Amino acid sequence: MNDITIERLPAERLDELEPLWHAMLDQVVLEDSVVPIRPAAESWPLRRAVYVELLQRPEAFALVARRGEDLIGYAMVKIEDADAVWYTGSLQANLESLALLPDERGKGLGTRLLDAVDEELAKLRVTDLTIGVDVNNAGAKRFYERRGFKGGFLLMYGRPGGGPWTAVEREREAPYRSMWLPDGVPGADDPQG
Amino acid sequence: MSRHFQSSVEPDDRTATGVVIGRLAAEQLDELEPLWASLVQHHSALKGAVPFREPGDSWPQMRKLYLEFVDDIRGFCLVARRETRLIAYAMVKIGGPEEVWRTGDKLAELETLSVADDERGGGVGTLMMEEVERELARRGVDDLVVAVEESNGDAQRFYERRGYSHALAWLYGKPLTWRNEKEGLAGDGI
Repeated sequence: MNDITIERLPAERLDELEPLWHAMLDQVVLEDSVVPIRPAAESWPLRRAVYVELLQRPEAFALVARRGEDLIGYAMVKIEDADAVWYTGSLQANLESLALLPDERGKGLGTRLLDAVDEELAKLRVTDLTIGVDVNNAGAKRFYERRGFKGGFLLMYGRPGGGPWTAVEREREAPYRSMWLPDGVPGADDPQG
Repeated sequence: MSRHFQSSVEPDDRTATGVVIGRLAAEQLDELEPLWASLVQHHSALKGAVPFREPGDSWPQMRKLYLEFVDDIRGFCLVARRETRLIAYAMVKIGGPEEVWRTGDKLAELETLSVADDERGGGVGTLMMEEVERELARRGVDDLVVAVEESNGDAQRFYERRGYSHALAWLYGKPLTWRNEKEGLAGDGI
């Protein structure tokens, strides 16, 4: 892990994150997302727009991990004013994304990136951090629980008025295609089980 | 997505009678404050992972947030009245599309559904949801998310019965506190 450097990514270099975003989408499929996900090519432009907007705020930041020149992971952190409902400090943070290349998982890189996020948050004196995790992704939940995170809210999804989810219908018409693995995501031939 | 949408519905909702549902205009927003306070008190009693602000502290910020949604374009607010008394409100935000989930171009978030203490369990929550869903169908919105507190099993069952499923867990932590305590913790799996 000693050949890895972690640094901030300036907003104008956001496009470098695209391959890592695609790798993360594959992971969402592998972890059996409850809601079917978009084709990767459709998702990145939408996600990029979200990043551009959140990085307008000067306290927000993106951290990237590199091995040599190669980008192998990133963390995107959104900063907002104090929460309206919960007791938080005057600023609160949300970990928007934590993405690692498949070969880099399970080696402590997620911990390194989150430690670096914590250091940045300490400089900003931000003491509250929220993270959204897919309910079926038990590994990610355990990872954050070991860092002291607790369940706050559950987000429920559905079709107003009942009936089959349109997300499932769209998935049936045009199944998810990985941008990262041209032959498809191993073990995820039938993401809706 | 925000985490402010909450519910104070009960599992044994029955049909409500004598209740009129209508639209709330932006200039009537202040009428919601007592129902907001009742919802916060209801949640504080559930003793979730994160403490709630006093309703008087949170209302000005919620009011500001609601102002963005009551314009009938970015969202709408439905209220239920028994005679002249306001007994429930539903605040709906319409945004989207979601970047990961395969939603349509519009994604609705039920920001808040609050029912007055003495009206819970009487079918008002169901009546409000039916009206919210009808309005979304009219607007061609096929996807809805709602956040419920993890300790609020009644609200979770209420939405499950209406076809909604747990999809995402919002976790909350204190990074600095954790750093102080991290000595002795084992390595991670990620």
